[in-house]
Amino acid sequence: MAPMLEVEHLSTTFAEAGRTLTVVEDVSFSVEAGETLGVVGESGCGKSVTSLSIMRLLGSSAKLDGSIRFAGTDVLRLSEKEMQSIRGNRIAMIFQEPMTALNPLHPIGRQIAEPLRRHLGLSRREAAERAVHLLKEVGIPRAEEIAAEYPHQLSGGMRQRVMIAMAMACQPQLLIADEPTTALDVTIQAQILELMKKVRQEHGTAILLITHDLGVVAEMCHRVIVMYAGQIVEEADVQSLFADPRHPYTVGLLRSMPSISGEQERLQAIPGAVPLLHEMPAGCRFAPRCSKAMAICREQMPELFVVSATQKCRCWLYREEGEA
Amino acid sequence: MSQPLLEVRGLKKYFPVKTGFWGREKVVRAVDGVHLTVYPGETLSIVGESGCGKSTTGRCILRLIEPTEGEILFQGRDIRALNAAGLRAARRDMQLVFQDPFASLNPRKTVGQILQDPLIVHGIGTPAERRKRVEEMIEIVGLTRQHLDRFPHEFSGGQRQRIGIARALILRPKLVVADEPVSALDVSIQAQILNLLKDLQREFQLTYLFISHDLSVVRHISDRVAVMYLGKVVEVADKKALYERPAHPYTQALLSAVPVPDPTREVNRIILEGDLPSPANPPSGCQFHPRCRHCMEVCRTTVPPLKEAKPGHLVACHLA
Repeated sequence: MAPMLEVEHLSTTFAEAGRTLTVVEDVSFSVEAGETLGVVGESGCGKSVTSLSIMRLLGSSAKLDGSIRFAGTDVLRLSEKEMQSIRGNRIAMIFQEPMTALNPLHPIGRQIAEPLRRHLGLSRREAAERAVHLLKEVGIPRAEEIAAEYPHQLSGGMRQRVMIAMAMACQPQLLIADEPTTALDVTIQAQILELMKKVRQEHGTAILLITHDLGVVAEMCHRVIVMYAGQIVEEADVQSLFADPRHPYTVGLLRSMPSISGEQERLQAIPGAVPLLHEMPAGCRFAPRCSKAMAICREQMPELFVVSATQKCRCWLYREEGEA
Repeated sequence: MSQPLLEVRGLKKYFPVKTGFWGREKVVRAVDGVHLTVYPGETLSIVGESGCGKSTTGRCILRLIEPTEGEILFQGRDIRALNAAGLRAARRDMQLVFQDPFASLNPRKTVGQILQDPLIVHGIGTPAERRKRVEEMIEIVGLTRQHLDRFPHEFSGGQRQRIGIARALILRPKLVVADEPVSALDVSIQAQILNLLKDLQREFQLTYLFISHDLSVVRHISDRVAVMYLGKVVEVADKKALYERPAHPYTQALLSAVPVPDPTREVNRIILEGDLPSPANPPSGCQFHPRCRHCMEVCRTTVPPLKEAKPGHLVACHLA
């Protein structure tokens, strides 16, 4: 079966003050129907720009290279009008902060009804009825009343449910969720994660889940890509990533997390900070912070080596083990 | 056990709010009868979800906002009885580290000036002595003297939080209230700051009141933990007891909700129904009863007191 989404050699660059900044560099991955792919990394690693590139929501200052095939169609070759018929319809997106993603001036019900009328051609009344039904499906109590309310009248968890209802309105084949639970409290996060699992099971939706929370990754994802400074540094199935992480950055990330189930006296922090976009090191981008850095790491960028059937790693330590 | 450094008894903070244009005045009970005891040299954490009153509690203790009611005894003296001069003197011993290292540093001052200000306010040392103390402090938090002449915007989030910590510690306080000090940071940087806080505690015999929503961070940093829900403390215990044998149904649900970074672990979760009720209109009896799976008749009518269920383990629940 062909993957639902296939990204190949995607690079996203921005021109700023006479210089070119590469925010996403040579990123390739795929997601199948019913599968959840996690994209993990810290601030500035390019994970959100990757998702906005797929949606083509970056505006004219961004230059996209490579190919992004959604259900066989190269998204980068579509006209803006063709893109609009896909966006919110066959590909939907959930953002981190539902308050800024919802229109404060329109009632909830009308906002959910809009894509239904636009993409599915439903009448005003049909769309309104379907909107109430969708609100019930995402577990919103008093759905009829809530449909007439405005975003500011709802709590953060309720707003995120509304976002999910809106995203699922046209039964998309691909759902891009960018930090969907980061702004929520843990007990509300638990509710939203359950809801996303239900949606995935019932509709076989492919999900691209962007998060910095490795706990959420372990619970939700089948496969994971780890990004650092605009590149994929490791790709693995979720079991291997946690049982046998290969890239020193992935290892460092896992070790620097405090654990809720055990005690450790000191955390193993990763020294230093992520390099700035215009000051990227010549070799491996993680080398300045890496405890295992060798001479070659500072000079030459490693490729994404294949280390097992399900795992790839951008690190010179794995050169002998696999081939790119 | 030694004398407590800080004792909070029956602390309340009610904020008046108006509803609508002609609306009657209502009160939001942000903090509604909090009791806490903090011993010298320990880290007591307050953990809870947004709106539970944990930050307001921290700020009331430093009198950055005036409490409505209650006693705050610091080294046996009631902070609420102090006049402005007395309060300023007392603040030398109690300092705050803020969550947002972007908003809490004056963008027009150099790091050197920011660190020197508390010394000037409290009339400590000659200019030369102050300069020396600032230089020592910046190195203690892992930055260098060259950083002193720069402005806050030239630093990353983690570095700014180091500056915020240096500013809090330059007066050599006894108590540091840290309000979500690592929440704005990435996990690899967060680990650096948590390690720094632990090192500093050992070096300067600090007592921390650590306020956080992150249960994993709290387990790492604390000796004892207080869980707050809707303005009240519902459980206090040693960290081991709290995480391994939580007694309050809210604590149990909260702990079970945290996703664990282990894909082989079966998710066995208590999903709470509904949202946090509004502190302007809290439920009768136990505030948690509408979401509690063990709710009994008595829970709807009577507020459960915070009482000792086991030695050192306080729980506010009719079941305990």
